[in-house]
Amino acid sequence: MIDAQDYPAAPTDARDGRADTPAHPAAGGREPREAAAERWVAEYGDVLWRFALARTRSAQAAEEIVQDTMLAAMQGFEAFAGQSSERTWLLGIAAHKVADHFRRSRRRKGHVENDDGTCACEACRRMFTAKGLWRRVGSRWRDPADGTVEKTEQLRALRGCIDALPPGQGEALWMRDVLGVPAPAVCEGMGLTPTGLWTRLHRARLALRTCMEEKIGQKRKGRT
Amino acid sequence: MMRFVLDVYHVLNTSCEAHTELFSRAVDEPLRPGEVCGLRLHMLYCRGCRRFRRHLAQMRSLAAMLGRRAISDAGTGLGAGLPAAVRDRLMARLRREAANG
Repeated sequence: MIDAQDYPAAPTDARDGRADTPAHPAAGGREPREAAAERWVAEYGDVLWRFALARTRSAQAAEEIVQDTMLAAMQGFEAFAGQSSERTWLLGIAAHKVADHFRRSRRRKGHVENDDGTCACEACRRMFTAKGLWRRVGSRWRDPADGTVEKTEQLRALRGCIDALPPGQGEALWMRDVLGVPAPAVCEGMGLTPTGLWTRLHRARLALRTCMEEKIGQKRKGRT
Repeated sequence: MMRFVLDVYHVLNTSCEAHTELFSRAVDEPLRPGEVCGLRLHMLYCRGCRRFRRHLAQMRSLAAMLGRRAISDAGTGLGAGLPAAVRDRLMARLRREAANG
């Protein structure tokens, strides 16, 4: 089960000062770096992993991020004076590594990012007539109770549809709608203007709707 | 008042395709009163837009649930902790790093 608290929450929040966080060992006798790193993996490995995986949706990227975070933490170990809990400190580093990851993947994609969405929009354009009217009314989607097999099916369909979006759209939608990251934070993380994000989300949602309609829409009988 | 009337007029005179943009924007920020009113009027007679709006809401709630829940697929369940193999690789890397100073 996901620790809901780890979710959209920014890495710095009040509950990190909780009592079960051990006092920073560097305060008294200095802990060797290696021992500290091993302790971090044991104590915060799961949290960091979930944090990175939830944001990047890629096990490979998450592994890189956790590793880079630990390496950076070993480097900065002396400088960390224990102003915040270790958990906050490590999550803060991880947040930077996640931002780096998105920056790198943007650069790799290069110009493709600019006309991002046009391909998905092609499919979506078929939703409308030339005058912009609905070509066909969407079918009714069932709304099963939580915990039913059907709900799980719908969730799986959604996951598949999000993964099928162009990367830029998928990332934006994942952060905004799935993780519930506030729009300004998504803009910052992805280097977008509010309008840019909004356009991208709109395209993503249209594409998602088309995809979901195919997967979970009721098969229509005769007339639409 | 003028703004309100213009917004209503504008919404009623644009296509359903443009309306989907408004529905989508409404998720992220409040629309102007005239836009809301225009959409409501439009939806009285447009089944396509009514359905679309409902689909958006359903997708939103599914997405939020996806965020809360562990959906495991191909071993990379979002809810799972650090996999053992990753942990081993990580420890090996850190020890190497520590040895190099």
